[in-house]
Amino acid sequence: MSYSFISPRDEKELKEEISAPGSFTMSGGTDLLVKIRMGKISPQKIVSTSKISTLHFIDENDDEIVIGSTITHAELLEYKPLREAFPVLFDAIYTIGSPQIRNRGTLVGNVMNASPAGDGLLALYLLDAKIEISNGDAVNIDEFVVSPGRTILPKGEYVKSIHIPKSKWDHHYFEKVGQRNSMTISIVSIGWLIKCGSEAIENLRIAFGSVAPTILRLKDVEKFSKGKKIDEKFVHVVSDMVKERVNPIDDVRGSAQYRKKLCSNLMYRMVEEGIKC
Amino acid sequence: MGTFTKKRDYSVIGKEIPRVDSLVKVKGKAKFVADFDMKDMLYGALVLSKRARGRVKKIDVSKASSLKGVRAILTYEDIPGENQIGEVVNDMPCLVPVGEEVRYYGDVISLVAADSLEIAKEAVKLVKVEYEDLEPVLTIEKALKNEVKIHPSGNILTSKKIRKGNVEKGFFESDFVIEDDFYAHYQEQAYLEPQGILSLYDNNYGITIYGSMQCPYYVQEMVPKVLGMSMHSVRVIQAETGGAFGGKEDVPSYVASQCALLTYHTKKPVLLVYSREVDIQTTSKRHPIKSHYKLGVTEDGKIKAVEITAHMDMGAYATLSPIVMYRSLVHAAGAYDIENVKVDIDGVYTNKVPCGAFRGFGSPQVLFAMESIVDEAAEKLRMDPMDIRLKNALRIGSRTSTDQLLTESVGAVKTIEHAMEISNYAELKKEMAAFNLENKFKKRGIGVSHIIYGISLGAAGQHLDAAGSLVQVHRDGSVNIHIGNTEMGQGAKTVIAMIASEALGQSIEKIRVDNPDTSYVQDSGPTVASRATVFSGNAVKKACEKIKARMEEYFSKTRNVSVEEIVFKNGAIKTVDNKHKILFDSLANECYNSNTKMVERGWFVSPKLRWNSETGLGEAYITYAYATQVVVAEVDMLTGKSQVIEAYTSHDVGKKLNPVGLVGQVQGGFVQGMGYGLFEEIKTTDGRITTDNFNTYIIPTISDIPQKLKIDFVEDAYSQGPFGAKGIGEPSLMPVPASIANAISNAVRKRVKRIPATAEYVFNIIEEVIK
Repeated sequence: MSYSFISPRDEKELKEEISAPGSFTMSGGTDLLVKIRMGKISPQKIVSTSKISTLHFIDENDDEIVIGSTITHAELLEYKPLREAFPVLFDAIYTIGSPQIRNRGTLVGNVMNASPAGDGLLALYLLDAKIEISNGDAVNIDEFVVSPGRTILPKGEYVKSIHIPKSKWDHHYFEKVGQRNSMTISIVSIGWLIKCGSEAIENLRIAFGSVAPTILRLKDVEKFSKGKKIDEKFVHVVSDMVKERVNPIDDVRGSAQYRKKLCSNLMYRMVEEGIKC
Repeated sequence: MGTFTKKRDYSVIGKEIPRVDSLVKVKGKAKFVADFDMKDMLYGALVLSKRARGRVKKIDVSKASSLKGVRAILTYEDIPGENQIGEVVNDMPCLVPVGEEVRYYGDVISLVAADSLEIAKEAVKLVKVEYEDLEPVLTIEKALKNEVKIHPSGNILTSKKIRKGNVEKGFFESDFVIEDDFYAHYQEQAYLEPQGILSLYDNNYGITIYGSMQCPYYVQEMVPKVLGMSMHSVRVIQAETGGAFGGKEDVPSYVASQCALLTYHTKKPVLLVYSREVDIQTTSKRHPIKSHYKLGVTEDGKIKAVEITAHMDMGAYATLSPIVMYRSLVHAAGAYDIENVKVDIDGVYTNKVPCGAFRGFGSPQVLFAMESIVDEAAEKLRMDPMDIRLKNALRIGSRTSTDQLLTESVGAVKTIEHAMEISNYAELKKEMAAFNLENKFKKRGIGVSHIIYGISLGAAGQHLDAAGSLVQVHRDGSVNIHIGNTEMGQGAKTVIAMIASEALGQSIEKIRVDNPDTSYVQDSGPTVASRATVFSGNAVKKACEKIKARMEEYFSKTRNVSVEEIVFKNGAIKTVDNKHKILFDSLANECYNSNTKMVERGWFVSPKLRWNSETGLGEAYITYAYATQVVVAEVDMLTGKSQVIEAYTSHDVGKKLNPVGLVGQVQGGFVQGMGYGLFEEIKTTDGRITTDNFNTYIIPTISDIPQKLKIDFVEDAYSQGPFGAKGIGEPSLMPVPASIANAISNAVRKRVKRIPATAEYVFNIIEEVIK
């Protein structure tokens, strides 16, 4: 097992390097290096994006925040406007790995890893983020991610940035049920955003992780919730709907049956958190 | 109270001494086995069985041997000595021969040495092993049927029992009899540094082994057997050892045999370091134990009888199981004065990873079960869990479950009292009730446990229970100490240096405790069973006292003062009247100039124990440590996830030698026990371990540790211990899984009968409550 390691200085050079067969693009390497050690992939060449200054940026305007592809989790946690605009994303990123991993790993890497357990990814699904590709395309996150480890990113292209449209919400929630409190991969993860009308839900978005091949947004539950009041009866109904819609598998972290029941139970956090709408 | 403990002013003992080996380790200067590099050094790797059970039909090494850089590929035919090995029973092949069965996924079939680790790993892939598939035995139940025999002698290797009093009579005299089944799962030692050995031919034309290990003398016995050499040709030196927890008791003997075989054939230094995956797949774990407990109590909470049957899953080979079982047997009925005790325990073979030593050695599993059923009894009687324990606790004059009369150093009751005091127990119960009233989705519970722990090897290991030392004071006053027990992160070097400093009067900075080397000190038994402080400590104390006596004699003669007037302390010697004064270093020089002998040996032998293995009655251990613990756990009723919120723990240690070291041990023991109680889980598919790295085998991180962990020590001196001390290494872990399981049970109002009590397990028992 041997491979070459290249660290291009600009995007032009990057594009040339990654078009070669057997090349893998590396950002923080927190997923890639683990996969190499496990023998899951055998790269001939690793192309690091870390020295490309044009990919290292965070932009903010009235409509969106744009996150360049080499921005680490730790940098995002320190970027104050992010916490204000997207607290659910902040909460999700905060649960990723350990401080060491957050110092290396990037949000774009989390997207490219395309894990159904991706924590940052779940928040991006909730926030209707768009992925900007080097060929100029901008793709909705749920269309960009296809299945575990797979995206629609064409060979020879790379992700430039993530665009997250700003939106106002009254309540946000993210939780990762893991085997321990940190350095953990979710058995199930859940996130929601709620906007309240005068007496009822005006808008609700809800997503689950680790219960399907990709992060799962439950759009029919979202539609159903419109105009409903949040009370125990509502939570009970939604909790049943959730159970029918998630499709988890058995793995080393938990059984499918447990996961299903977890998703359903986690809806009661709305009651526990005392969310009134 | 023992003779050593009459109030006296110690200069080092009882003081907070920083670890003597901390700086090199913190700075990264300490060399561990994987750091070793030598000229012409080769790298070793293992070809492992990919079946839980099967017959080896053919081993084809041709492709692998033709790979460039491969220096040796060995099979059973290349073993010059004995292939059949084992620490207690010779039931394990060093390398599985053609025609024989592989008995677990991880049995070693072939060894590779190559110029680089990459080449060695590549060669391993090219060794082709053909098997005849055989039906594996993967559960205790299936093994007990004995339809498929894992070893020719059958699937139960050995059985042990206790017959004290008459349990039938005891149950008859009881007002309540309760019974239940319990299961405690595997636990992986999860030492930071995986198994590793470096072997080489030394300049005496024998083999020298450096390795990460607890028991150099085990290695020194096994390697010559496999190589067909005599023991004087094999020298074993312990390298820095990055954690062991029992996992480096017997296992390094096997790793060293593999490595030494490669050196024997290549005549080159060979480094064999296991990857984490190979380590978890192949090396010994804590035994899963299934048990059935039946307990009889009177209305006022007196335990009249306990009857226990237990089966332990030994895995494919016996390794240390028979002696682990001995400890399970003695600890099965817990820390109580019970008239009638009946215990039956079987060691059962399965086609899974061999189990062996792990901090606690077969006890936490049964202590968890005993403490659970005692809690059940308390609940039935509407008695406080502390009260039932206090009522049945051991005291001076009590008899243990093996009918051993306790005559000294029984701090059991004091630990119960202290635990209640430091936890503010009555107040804690009120707080918990208030919390539960306010919270619907989170519930808290208080869990209590009270344990006993036998110090050192006990009656079953008496033949190994001695330890030696070699102490040398140099001309400049600096001191070298050689012992036979190892530093593996527990702080042995520090406590030994402290004992030597106290006994010699030299300051601790001038004392160096060297890593054990089998060429200096006679076989001192294993570094296990919380025995190093007592055994090596006593051996060092004795040797130091001999040298000190000689220095005193010299001083007395040359200064014309009586020995009684001389005080040795902190590197200086003076007379009581301060007339004569000299530095220890200068006196050492004077002693050298007068040809005084400044090197001495110490030898400490276990007090003899009387034991009847037919009845399981007698003096099981030389003394016991006791502990009581209170924990508060919070259970998330929506997910089943539990969190330890606070913990209070009181330990009877005989005498505090190094308070900092003690606290470190108790903190570490707590966290390791908590991992076992909550989420450390070995999972298998067809006998193959699927949780073979730390991304799937989950151990606690700093975020799981309770914010509040209050530690207390009871000092009830043990007369045979150095300055009155007993051990702490294992007792620190023993109460933890039990107290956590009891706390969760208390929170969810349903008995936890299995550890680890994972979120999914607790979730499932909550569900049944709801139904």
